Amino acid sequence: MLGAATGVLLEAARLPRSKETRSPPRLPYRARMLKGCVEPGFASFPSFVPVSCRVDSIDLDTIDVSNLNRQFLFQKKHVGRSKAQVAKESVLQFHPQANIIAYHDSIMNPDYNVEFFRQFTLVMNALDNRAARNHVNRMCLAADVPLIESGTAGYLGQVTVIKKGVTECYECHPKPTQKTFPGCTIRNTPSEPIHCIVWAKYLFNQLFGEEDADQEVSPDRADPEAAWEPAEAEARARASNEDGDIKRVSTKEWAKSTGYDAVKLFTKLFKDDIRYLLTMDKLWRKRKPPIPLDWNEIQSQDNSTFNQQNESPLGLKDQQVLDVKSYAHLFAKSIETLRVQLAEKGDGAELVWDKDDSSAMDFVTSAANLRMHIFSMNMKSRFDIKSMAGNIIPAIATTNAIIAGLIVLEGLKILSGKIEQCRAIFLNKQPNPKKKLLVPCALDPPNPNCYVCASKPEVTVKLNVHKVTVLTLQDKIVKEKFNMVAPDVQIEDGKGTILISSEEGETEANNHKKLSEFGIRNGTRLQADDFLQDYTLLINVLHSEDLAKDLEFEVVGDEIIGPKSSEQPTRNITNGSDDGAQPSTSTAQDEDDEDVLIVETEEDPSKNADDTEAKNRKRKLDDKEYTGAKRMRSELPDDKQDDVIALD
Amino acid sequence: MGRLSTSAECYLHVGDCLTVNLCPNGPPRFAPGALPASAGARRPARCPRAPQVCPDDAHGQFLLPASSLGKNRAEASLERVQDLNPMVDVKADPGDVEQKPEEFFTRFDVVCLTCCTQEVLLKVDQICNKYGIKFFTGDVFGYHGYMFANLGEHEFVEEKTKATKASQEGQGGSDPKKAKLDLAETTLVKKHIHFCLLKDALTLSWSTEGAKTALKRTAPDYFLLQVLLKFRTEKGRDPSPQSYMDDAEVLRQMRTDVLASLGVGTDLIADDFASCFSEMAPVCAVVGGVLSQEAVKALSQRDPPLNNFFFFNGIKGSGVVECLAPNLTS
Ligand SMILES: [Zn+2]
Repeated sequence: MLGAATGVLLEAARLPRSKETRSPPRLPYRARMLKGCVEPGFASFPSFVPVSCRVDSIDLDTIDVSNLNRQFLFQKKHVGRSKAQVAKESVLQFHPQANIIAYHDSIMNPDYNVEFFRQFTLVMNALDNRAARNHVNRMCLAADVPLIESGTAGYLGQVTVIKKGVTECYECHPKPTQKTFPGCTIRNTPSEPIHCIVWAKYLFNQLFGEEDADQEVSPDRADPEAAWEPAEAEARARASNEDGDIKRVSTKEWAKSTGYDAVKLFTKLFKDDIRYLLTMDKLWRKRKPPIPLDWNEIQSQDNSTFNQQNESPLGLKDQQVLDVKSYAHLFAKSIETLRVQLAEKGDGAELVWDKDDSSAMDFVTSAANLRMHIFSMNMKSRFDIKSMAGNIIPAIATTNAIIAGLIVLEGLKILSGKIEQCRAIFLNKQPNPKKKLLVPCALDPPNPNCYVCASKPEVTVKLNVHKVTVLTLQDKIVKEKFNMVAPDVQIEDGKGTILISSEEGETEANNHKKLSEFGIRNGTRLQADDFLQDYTLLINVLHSEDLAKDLEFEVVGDEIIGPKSSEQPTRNITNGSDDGAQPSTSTAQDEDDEDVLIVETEEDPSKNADDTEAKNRKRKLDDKEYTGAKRMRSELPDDKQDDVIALD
Repeated sequence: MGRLSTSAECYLHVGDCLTVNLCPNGPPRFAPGALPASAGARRPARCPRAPQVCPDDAHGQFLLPASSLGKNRAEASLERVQDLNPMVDVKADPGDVEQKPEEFFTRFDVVCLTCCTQEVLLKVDQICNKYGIKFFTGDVFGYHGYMFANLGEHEFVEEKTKATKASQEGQGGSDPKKAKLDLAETTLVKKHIHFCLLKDALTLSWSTEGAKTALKRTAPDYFLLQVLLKFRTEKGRDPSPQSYMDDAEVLRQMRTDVLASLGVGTDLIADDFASCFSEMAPVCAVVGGVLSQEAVKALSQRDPPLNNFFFFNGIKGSGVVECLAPNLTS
């Protein structure tokens, strides 16, 4: 379960001289590494130890049952304990001489300031979320410490090195919307239909298929967000895992024991579990709380009141969105069909989810929609759900192992003072036309217009000053879009009027006022500061009355630099980490893409991708994603159909 | 054998896997990937003929606690492997793989050898080929790692997706957005692929015109591997940092011999063998990850397998798949 930012702190060095003879790379003593970490991170943890004798590790998370089959430092008896602590203990078993200090904490904690980052020779990221990645990127830029970024998505993965002023930073180009999400989003706080679809697919396996601890569907009590105190989270995790085993084993067993009673299942999933979630009140402070569904109440509902929701009454059946009552019935009906199918297969049999199997698809459609309704989302048609459900990418252990190895190898280059030898390395699913499964590419120089790593970061935001409130500016623009953690915003009006203060409560009175009430108009410049990130961004306001519907603001240049959809698959692919590694949004239906592919295949095969000189993006695409691009072309015919990676 | 599933996520159900020699890159680097992936396998994964645990192992291996010095490797790591995945039935066999009769191997679906001499590799590969057992071998020498696979006559399914226009197109009420939304139809295509014996893969003729052209595009690591296997065969060990100067000299000599016997130029491999010494844990992670994934693919019979060599160069960060079989160079 990867709720929040997690981090492992590695402090290499103090190598006993005698041991130096063992390994070819000679490391400078006292090299220090900071490492943000999720799975590839933990996987690389042990690899590092032979060359580093002091390791500090930080991680906010506790170990979940679902971690066990992918993370070999953790065993069943460790469930509920701090990942950092257990990782330390496990490594010590094998390298008793290693000096490891573990912290159970978040990398985004303000204690880890620029000074803190500055002590390290190297920082390694294997984070699971954009916010933490952006944050660490800025901390490393501010501290001028090299950063190794990494990410995996299914069979694809990549590792890249970021060095201030030398290479692109993590935020040099806008990224497509993030398509990975932690397990607690699936289990506790879904905010998009896809979260509910993933949940429904997991539910299918929990009930009829192979029970996989990675695909837990019940409320996650160890959600770090529900308990800000890590100790509390740990306690919760322990509690949940103590009776957790019984619960986990019994999801299917319990369903069987009721004879797959649809009403009982419905009540557990859509009423009792939701009520339980509501008791985790911290989750709902800033979110709309879910509304439990009651089977009997639904039965008495009038169909017609819901039919209004139906967006395409004229469309074919698959494209219709039904009402809650109909989905409740479809849920019950599909359970009955699947129960019979399962029984026909005999004892111990399992069903395999297949989007082309109509009852399996009915089940997922109805369960996902009921959950969407509970979480106040607009429900989706069977047609839409089918295409989304077909594109879910599972997390794969072997990919993590490979990426972990690559992270360490790049780290060794930096530690031995050969950062110029570092490459961005991409892992393909199949070898590219040059026979490469792992493709090294030269690192790109920084984007001079980057609004993070440029010397004077500046950005233009198009918005309607009469409509946008200070709160929107703070939450959606400065925090969400520009990823500041605790921003201060002032108006460059000669007086330095404070619009937003990072001190709690100081500017709360401004929150619901429109920007125009502060004299902000076309051409006004706002200065946004994040003290922790040591980052100042100048925001030019471009007033506009004709923004697209539902769009509160638009960052000028975003579309040109790095489009979010099909026009430039290159950008999406080559961009770092989870979001970049998976070619999701490069929908590639355009003819242009065909051209790109042809160009690549015709390229001189003797030309080596490792050449530092050659560094155009096309080549990157070519080397890295030939098969990937081809694959996504057919798999992702519309920008609605994004690949999704479910992390635990 | 692995079960074929039509869903995108495929789970491996049953598969007996023999992992020979937990040494340098047996588990954990190889196994952590393989074991979780084979969750559901309830028959034994065996680890025979591991020599005694030496101090070197305790550094590179985290299946081997430091307290296990002097114990048999397979037995020492058993507990750890079992901990990793209780679903897999792991048995340790302290015997020597060289002494095992043919029948010993027939119990397995997959055999994976590491740290074996070329002689043993060729012998076991032959046996596996004869009984239709999927054969893998992999090793790490410093920054260089390789994997070889012989899946014999391998059948697999590949998911082909074709975007078919939604049938609703043109019907009443469909807005342009909807009409564009195609449904990716996936079909499973059955395919067959032939693998060659390790013996044939290592004794290719490079004298034909076609081969000479192919040579330019062939990873030099292939030839380096042959030199290192020769070293192992003749010295009974891998190049060691403790005898760096001597071993490097031996390697240079062997390079000349090996390349000459293969009929290719000595310049294919550089003089400096420093990158071949000591086993690099991160290189093991990469090669182990790839090998594990291939083992899963072989058992599940899904997706095209890598045929037949994978070479990883940890300095360049490059991983190349080479198909080096007799018919391809003639
Ligand atoms: Zn930048």
